[in-house]
Amino acid sequence: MEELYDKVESYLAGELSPADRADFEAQLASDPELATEVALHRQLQETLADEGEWSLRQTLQTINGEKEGEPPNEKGNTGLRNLLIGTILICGLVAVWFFNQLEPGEPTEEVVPVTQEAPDTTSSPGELIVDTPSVEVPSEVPPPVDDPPLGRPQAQIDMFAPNPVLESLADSLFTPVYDLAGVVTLEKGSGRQKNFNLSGLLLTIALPEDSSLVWRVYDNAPARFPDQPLFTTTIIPELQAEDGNIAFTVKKAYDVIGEREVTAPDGRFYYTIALSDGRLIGAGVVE
Amino acid sequence: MPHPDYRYIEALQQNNQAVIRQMYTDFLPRISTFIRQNGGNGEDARDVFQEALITIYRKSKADGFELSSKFYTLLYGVCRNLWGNQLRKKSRSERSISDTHAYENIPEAAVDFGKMEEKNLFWEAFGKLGQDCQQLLQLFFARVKMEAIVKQLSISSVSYAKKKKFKCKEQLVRLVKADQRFAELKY
Repeated sequence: MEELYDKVESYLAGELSPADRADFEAQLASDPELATEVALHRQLQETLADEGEWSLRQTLQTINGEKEGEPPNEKGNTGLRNLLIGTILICGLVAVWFFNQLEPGEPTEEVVPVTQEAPDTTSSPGELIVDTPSVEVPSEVPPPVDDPPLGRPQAQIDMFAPNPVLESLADSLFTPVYDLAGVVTLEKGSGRQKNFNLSGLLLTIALPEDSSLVWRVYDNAPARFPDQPLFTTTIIPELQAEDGNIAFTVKKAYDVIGEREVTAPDGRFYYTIALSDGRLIGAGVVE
Repeated sequence: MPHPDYRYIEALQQNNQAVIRQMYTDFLPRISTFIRQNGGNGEDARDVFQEALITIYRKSKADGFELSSKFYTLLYGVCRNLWGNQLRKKSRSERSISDTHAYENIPEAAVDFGKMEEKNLFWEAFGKLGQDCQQLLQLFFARVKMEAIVKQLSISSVSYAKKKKFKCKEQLVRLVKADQRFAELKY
């Protein structure tokens, strides 16, 4: 049991090795009880880490306990009894106030511990971090079919032909632990400007801290997948604000949003979304 | 420019007992009147008041929180929503609420009841643990490293602390699962 707890905690903290993480997630996908257990640990962590709430609750309990001495203000109580109890209470409150004033500079909160993991302040959720493209965006349209010099035929490149590898990936990718429902659309600008828009929803039990996703768009050229995308961009999933009466959900929902403009010839485009460790969680045709 | 009543929010966040007591003195009587006018008693009023302050504390910790009305407006709104929920639980028919003054429904006073139930369940279970467990777990949940926890709590060794942490957490999980509310919350 202790090993299980350690594993769950390591997983939630993002400390497992990629191999162990993949193993654990395979277990989560097939074991709903384990998934619920992980979600419980996650929620406990999130709730009980708030020292401020604990202090406040204790204060309120103390005050409430004192107030309980007050009689209910129902008809029939003699005014004199109320006055007497009221006086005692006021004396009590004054005494407590006085006592509080006497205590030398006591911090109202527990001493903050020595070491804390520094929060990641380098980026806020939802911010699009643009990587420099890993390859030069092709600035030339593939050579048009000319009258072939010297009688040699030039291969005609169809920019709209489906790429079988990417088509198959789009159809068959199944990642239940990172359940991503997304779409990438294309808006054409002037000339060869292309505006790609990513809009998706990621459902997952836990996203380790500082998680980011990698969004790539490819043209249909077989030779250019997977190493020569049109562009590569980092996306930070943004936790959706929790609302309604949904409590203790096993999975959390994250917005996956991105936008990128490049110059490219018209054609059939594909996108992939990957975890930072390289595993693909989404793939499809650009609409 | 923050609202002048923001000092009440600060008092909740900083656990300023003097100001919190003042809030009881200043605001509880009116809330109590409201609760009594709507089928409750003094004890209900105190419970709702306490729950409302905790709810407001939590709201204030969320990104983008702003106090744009008087504190009492927010407090009344939250109390009203909490009490409305209580009434709904007690009787199946929707009971209309009579307000003590012209009521202005502000969206900031909305209550996430599911989340509230979940957090109350966790904190109540936490409250049943011994103080040593509470101290250890709070530091652990706040992601303080074991080495630092050992120093702060004067524990003999990291391995002992880890063992203790496991035992405390196991007890906490058991308390949560034993509570009837856990089954109601689970998906």
